[in-house]
Amino acid sequence: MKQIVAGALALALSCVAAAVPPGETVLVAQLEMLRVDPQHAANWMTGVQSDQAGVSVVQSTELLFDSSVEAQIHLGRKYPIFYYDARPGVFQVNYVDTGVKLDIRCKQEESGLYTVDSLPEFSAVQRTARDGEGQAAASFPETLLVKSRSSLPHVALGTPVLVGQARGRNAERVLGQLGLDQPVQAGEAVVLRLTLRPARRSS
Amino acid sequence: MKRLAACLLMFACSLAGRAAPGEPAAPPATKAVVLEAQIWRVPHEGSRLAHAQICDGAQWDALCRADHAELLEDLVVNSLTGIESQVHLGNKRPFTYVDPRAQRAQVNYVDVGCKVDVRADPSGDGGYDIKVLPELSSYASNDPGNLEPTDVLKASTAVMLRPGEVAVVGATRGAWTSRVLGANYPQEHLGSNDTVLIVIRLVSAER
Repeated sequence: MKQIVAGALALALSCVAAAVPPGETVLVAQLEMLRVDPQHAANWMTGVQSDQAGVSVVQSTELLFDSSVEAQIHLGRKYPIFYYDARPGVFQVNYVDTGVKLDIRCKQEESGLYTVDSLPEFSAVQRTARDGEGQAAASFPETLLVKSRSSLPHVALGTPVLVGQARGRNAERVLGQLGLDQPVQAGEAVVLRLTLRPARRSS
Repeated sequence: MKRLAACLLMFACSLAGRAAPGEPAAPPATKAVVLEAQIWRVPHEGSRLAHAQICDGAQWDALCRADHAELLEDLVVNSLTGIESQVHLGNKRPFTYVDPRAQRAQVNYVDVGCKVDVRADPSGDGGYDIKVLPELSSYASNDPGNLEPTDVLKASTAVMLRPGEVAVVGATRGAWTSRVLGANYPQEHLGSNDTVLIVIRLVSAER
């Protein structure tokens, strides 16, 4: 009987321990979208150059996120696809996202540094297809896409890392569709730079 | 002794929020929460406000006063834990289409402006896991009556907050921010150095 009581007590204690949540790991992800002029783009693409020559920041976005949960950022355009679905007998709307998208997830290593899993995507509309081209939707965009998945180990808080770099027709279209003041030049590169830092908490 | 053991087991299960063996799992009790969604404009980059961060309510209010932040939108929503609430501050533009089944024209709407989907779930230590899907958007073209593309700044994230705390979930500036927000606030003359903040405050939660 003593064993039963001891067992129940041990179970009680283990259940209480399981109910305590793990420590929170809130970080800030700063995503900067850079355009690099054609003269410096090749060096940036290969990592030879990391200074600011020929570089301008187009957009900077910070996002508060729990590092254990995937966070997503999308800067761009949502194109609706409106179509009649015959089975339920109703119209449906779906969306195609274009522009710059980034999915990130971080995992803290034993050293205190982070492994950053990222999925950057650059896309732009190539053309808008119309009715009569063998699709159920009356009008829909066809997109050019550049997408990659990478895992960066040993990333320190406060240190910028490059998570996406694209050069070519699609990168020029992505920049062009952002409606920038400066016209896009052939050979320009789009670079996504990510910096992680701790979220300030004052309690 | 058997009764004592059974009581201890029940006590353990109740502490852990789990069903005792043989009992069906009870659904988690919903609690009332009050959430506040805000959009701020901070006119200078060097401001301490112009970054994603978590702070308590008093500290946030002091920062806002000190840095002359400008409140663009503010909405308080009463919600329940475990249920997604949707906040929309902006425009609705109608578009029309002909429904062949009903054989008549129908009207639907495209929403733009500031949309925030927010959901709070208890995290077990007095805090709440807040899932947030903020979206700032504007019409990409001016074609009323048709379904048209929208320019968006959109994110999906989660953060833990305690009652009274404020989370600057997102801070954004640049050409795209000016374009998207400028379309919604033409009188504000948003420049590319202006930072726009998306703020969620967990005002209170039922104990």
